Amino acid sequence: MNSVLTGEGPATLVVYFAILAVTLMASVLFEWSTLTILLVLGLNSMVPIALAATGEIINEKSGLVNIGLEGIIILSAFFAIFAAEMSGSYAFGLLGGALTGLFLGVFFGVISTHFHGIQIIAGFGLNFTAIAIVVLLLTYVWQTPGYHVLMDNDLRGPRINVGSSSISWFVPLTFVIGVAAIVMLNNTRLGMRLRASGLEPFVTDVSGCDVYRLRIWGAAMGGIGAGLAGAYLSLDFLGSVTRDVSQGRGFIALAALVFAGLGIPRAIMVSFLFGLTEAFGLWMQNAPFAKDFTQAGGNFFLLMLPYLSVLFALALFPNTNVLSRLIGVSYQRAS
Amino acid sequence: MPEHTVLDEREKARLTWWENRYVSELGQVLLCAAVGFFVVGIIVILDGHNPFHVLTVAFRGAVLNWIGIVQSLAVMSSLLLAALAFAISMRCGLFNIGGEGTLIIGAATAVAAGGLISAPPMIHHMIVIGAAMAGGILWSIPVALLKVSRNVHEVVSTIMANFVALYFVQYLVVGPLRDTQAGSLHIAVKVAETARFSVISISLTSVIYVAVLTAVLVYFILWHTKQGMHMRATGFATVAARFSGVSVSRMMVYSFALSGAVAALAGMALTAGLPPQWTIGERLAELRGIGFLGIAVAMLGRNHPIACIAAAFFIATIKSSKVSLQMIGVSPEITNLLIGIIVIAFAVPEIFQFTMRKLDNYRRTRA
Repeated sequence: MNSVLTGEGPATLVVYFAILAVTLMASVLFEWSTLTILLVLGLNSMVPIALAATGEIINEKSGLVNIGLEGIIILSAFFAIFAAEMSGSYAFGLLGGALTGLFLGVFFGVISTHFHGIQIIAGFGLNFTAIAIVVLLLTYVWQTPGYHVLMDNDLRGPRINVGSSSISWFVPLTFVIGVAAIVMLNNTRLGMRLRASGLEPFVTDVSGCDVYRLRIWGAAMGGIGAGLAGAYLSLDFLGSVTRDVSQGRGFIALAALVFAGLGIPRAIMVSFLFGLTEAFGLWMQNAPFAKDFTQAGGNFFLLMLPYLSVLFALALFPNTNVLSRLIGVSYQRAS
Repeated sequence: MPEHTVLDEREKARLTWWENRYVSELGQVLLCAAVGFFVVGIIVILDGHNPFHVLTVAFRGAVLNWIGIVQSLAVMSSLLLAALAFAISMRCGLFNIGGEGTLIIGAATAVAAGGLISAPPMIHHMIVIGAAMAGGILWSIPVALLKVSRNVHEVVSTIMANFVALYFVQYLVVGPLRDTQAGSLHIAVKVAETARFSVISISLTSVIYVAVLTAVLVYFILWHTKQGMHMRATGFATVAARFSGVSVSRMMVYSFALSGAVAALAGMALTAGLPPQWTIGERLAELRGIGFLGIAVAMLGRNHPIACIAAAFFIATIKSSKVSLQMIGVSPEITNLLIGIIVIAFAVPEIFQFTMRKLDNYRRTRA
């Protein structure tokens, strides 16, 4: 149990997977400029998955499993773009997204602690409701059926130029958040207590910490992670919001952290690899030499690539199976 | 009171009326629905409508006239099948949300069998049903094996499989299955007339009999056969089932396969049993979301096949009231919001017991 929660997963698998991905790319086209483009695109696609996964790791270490990440991402993507356009400032947009995530995380936390909720159903309900709310609000606020594009380019986030392409400033931010999360979990009192409440809720309770409050803290941080991921998607990466803005990234994040055995550095690496496959698919869709392939319906296979890679990754490597041990196990404090 | 708690006579006598199993199941469903209606009612008020007026309009549009009832029944058949698919997995302890993808695959195989093969009427129906079920089973077996041999949590793997199914069938629609006579329109070949289910009225076809029959059949399999009993034992107490000699992993594979077959039937109901299209378009507009709605239906039906019939009709009326809601200026998406909030309310397992206990305490302290 202990080794499962601290994330002593198979370290070799990530290295293996990385080598696999890099050789795949190099074999397709051995050209340095293409490789940088792909890496940059991969870093940009990594961000939402990595942010959501980092938040969810904190959440799961405190003992709750939130499969509503997808819904949180979608809803905070909407509120980020909404706040940015209302206030005319990028920072307020980010704040809007993060606060939406925080609110939904706390909502989920309260349902699964004080109300003894079944976490998996609550998460699923969150996904379902979030899509409905976004479609409702899109028609209500902008009178557009199902999508809204950010017109004002000033509201897009700052970018860092790398060669001919550019990465979002969110990429370094993701690493900073990852380091901060590790420090928080390992070196602060709150982090220790969070982990204790996930490992041994009863003991934590007896030693005087309110497990419910700790788990709600964890869920709140998980929500903020997913909220930032949503804000990044709508303000930086896509510059628009639709009901499909997330495209399953919340679930890919869940797969990534299962895969990484709840270790944050490994989760970010796995997110990068999933981002890389997504980037590869995006790049191939516009590649001139693959034109015949994409026009014959091959672009659907390219779109499939991230999800297929997740399935193959889960099938090929033994995973530490963190999710199923914890899912739905609700702890009830003695009243 | 948890559903399966075994009580002796003395303990039973001590229970209050609301702790009775059936009362509390029904109370749970009604209370969750009430929570949903309450929250949505507030949103409707904020939107500037009278919630009771909206409710009557929706009710009148969906149930109180012939066209409304026919439309609701037409929507119900696929919803019921999707719900059964989820209920089967849930009874085996698996939160299998792959119904969405399996449904899409089932629709594609049904269209392929209905449009590319020619056969005399009844036989062609059988071929379409068989093809859809085979497609569904083949699609769910790999995910089941991932669960059993690799211990991959089914939520993650089925969601990934859903996306793969979505893009794969989109490829099929523009590629091999494309109707070349439709010109620039990207739609799949139509199901041949020999394989179409007979139209009862407007968009209601005889596929509804298939749906209801499947519900009864699923009930029979799960409650009155050995394998079904073992599946439910696996879901109810995995360890106990394993120790009494049930092969838990085999039961999981069985339940995945059964649920895949039923979900694929839902896909068939939306192609071979849904006029006027009788096929799928490139965007798969009719298919998307039905699998997830089915999960809500199964929750309302407390994962019981027979209760799912009533729940499916309820959700179908909500869904088909969209048209009349739109006419009075209420956004039709409010219906999905209602269903979502009902699902969230279901996450609280003892909401009914909890409320009743609080009420009881309140009454006692006042007396």
